[in-house]
Amino acid sequence: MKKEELTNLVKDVVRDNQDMSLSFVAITVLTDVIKRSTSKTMMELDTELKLAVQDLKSCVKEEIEGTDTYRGSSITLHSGCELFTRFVTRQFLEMKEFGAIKSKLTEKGQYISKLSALSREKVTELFEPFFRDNMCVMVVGNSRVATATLIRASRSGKRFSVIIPESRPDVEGYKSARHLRDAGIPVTLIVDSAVAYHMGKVDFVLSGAEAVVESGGIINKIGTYQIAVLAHVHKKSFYVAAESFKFVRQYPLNQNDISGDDHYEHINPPPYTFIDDGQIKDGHDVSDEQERRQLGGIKVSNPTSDFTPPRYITLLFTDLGILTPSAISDELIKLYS
Amino acid sequence: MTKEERKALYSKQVDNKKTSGNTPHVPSTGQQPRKQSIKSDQAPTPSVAQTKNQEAKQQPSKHQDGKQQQPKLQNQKQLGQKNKVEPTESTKQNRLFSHLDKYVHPDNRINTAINDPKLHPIIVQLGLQYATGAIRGGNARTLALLIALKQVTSDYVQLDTEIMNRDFGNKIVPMIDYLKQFRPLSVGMGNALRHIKQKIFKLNPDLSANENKNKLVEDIDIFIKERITVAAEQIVNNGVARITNGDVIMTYARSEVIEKILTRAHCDGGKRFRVIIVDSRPKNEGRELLNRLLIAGVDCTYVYINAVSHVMKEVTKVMIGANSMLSNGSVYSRIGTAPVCMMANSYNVPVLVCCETYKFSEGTQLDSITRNELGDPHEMCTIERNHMKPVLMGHESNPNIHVLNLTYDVTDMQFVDMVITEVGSIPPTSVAVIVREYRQK
Repeated sequence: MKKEELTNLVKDVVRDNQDMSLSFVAITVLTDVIKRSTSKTMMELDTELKLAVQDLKSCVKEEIEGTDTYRGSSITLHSGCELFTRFVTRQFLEMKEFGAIKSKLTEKGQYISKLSALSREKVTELFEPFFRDNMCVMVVGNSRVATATLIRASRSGKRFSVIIPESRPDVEGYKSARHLRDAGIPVTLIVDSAVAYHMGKVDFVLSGAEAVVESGGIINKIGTYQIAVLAHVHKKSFYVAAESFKFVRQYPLNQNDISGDDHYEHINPPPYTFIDDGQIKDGHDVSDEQERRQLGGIKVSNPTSDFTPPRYITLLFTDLGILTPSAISDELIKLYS
Repeated sequence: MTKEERKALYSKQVDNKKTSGNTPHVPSTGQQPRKQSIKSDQAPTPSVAQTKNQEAKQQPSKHQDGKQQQPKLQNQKQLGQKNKVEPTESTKQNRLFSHLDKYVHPDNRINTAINDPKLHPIIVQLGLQYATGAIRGGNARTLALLIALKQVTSDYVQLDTEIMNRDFGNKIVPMIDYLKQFRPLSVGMGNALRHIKQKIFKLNPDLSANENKNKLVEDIDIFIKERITVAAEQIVNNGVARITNGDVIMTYARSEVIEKILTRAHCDGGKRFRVIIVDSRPKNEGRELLNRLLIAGVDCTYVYINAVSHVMKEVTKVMIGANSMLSNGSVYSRIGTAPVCMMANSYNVPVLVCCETYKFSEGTQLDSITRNELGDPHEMCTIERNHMKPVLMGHESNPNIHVLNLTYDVTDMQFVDMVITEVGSIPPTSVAVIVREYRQK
């Protein structure tokens, strides 16, 4: 498939599935590549697929990343590609007849795509019994699966309140706050520096994940790590809701080990001037240009993601079940061996 | 034990010493019987023979009279048969470690096994190489064992009446028992042997002996390749990928695979990093590593374990090898590893353990006492090998000194961040999963 063709395909998939993760996009696109492929041998198909993965990654970097729909690191995309190519190679080894392989792969790809929608359902279902009335939950960032979990619990009649840090620099917290408010859940928005202040009254912390790594730790929106550490110090449970397609074969030991080029070069101005009587007023109107001039000569480090080590995570809710961090590696060994 | 009892015991020991000639202090408690086979091979001193023949666990001192009479009679009998003398340093033992096999100096292992028809000459040679330390290190020992077994296999002569899968299995048992006298089998060696024994058991009795022998040799070769050589190669690749520019890597003592990782990362990977080798007496194995890394041109710092807290501040990663990984996630490795890992943990420095999966054990161990190996106590009593100046003169005969030279220790899982294996990097909690996966295969 040509690159332009692929780019169009990616854009289509993204437009049609606004609420799905990049991993889903990757699998859908790669399945389509196989479906349309004219290759006659496994070798050809394999090369074609590898090329498609490369194109896909660069295309996402150019076109999708940084748009409203997809922020943060592209690690979910990598995990989706990795999972799919791994599956393809295994099919190559298992089956002999090329035609059969091709149809099997297409079938399986469509199945996986369907599965990712189902798995979110499964995660929210598993999480439901963990809510009790009068609970106070802190939510990290704007995770689709975490928001879905909260909304489901609320619909089932649990009365609880939610605290959301604004989650700078791209203030995703606002988005989830609006989302939850619309679902009728009492929401409090706080600044990131007030997390410790509020941690004492929180019952548990709920986070999503961009990726779940082999040690059972997670890679997620910047700020997750510090909230996890604070929860740990306050002896509060730190729960992660993540579908199993977010599992990646990576093993970071510290923050340097996750891709280091995912840095913004500047910090966006805050979208409000002050918080008064619980009201947020828009109005800060400084252009990036002005901001940068003001910060001239000062180095800015503004990473997009951080790594939370497994020792700060209490449980992970996945479509494979409720897992402790140490069970993640067991599942990954099963998935890839 | 009351004071009186202790006194009585001591005077009894003094008496014993007088009656048994010049032999020094006889330990009072906790000597375990040695394996029968040793007795016939070598010449025990009275005291050694005595301990060998004693009951597994001695009763408190009250009952000792009766107990000690009996073995003494046996001593005299044995003395009549054998008249070689063994040195006495190994007769004393720390009570906590009395269940471990005592160290016997290789020079005193002159044995009659050379003419034993049950033993293949290559096994006899291997035993001596293990004893003298000519072959040491987990991989080297296992490889030597497997290569020797290959030789034994090809030299095996099948009699018409016998079935190879049963007969050959029985034939190697005394050979392994013989090797165990010199050093206990490592976990890796145990796993390798278990694998080979399974293969022997599955040999097809309908095939000719030659075909079966070829099959077995091939199986051993496959094991060597898949689980040891290629595995090590894969670990080296995984390990090199873990080293980044600007790293300061700390390692302890000497591990073959760590050496390969560091040299490869420097020479082929072109990575800029520094190595701190932590070493300890009495073996000073780190010096060998230091030499090899210096030849490769790696920037090295060499410190003793006493200084580990001082240098830990600059370290970015600790990489160690392991004798084996236990299924509770603990690392069983050269003694001194545990303090290094614990120190790293308290400085928040990640600890990476490199270990092939054939060294993964199904067993668990919570401390370094239940299973361990005793080294030569003399090593600890001399300052430098070449001077051989004894610093604890006459410690053999002083009943109040117990010199304990342990070989291994156990590092708890909480101090380990990652285990690098040929199947990828896993957290120590997943060791049990790998063990299970391989058992299912």
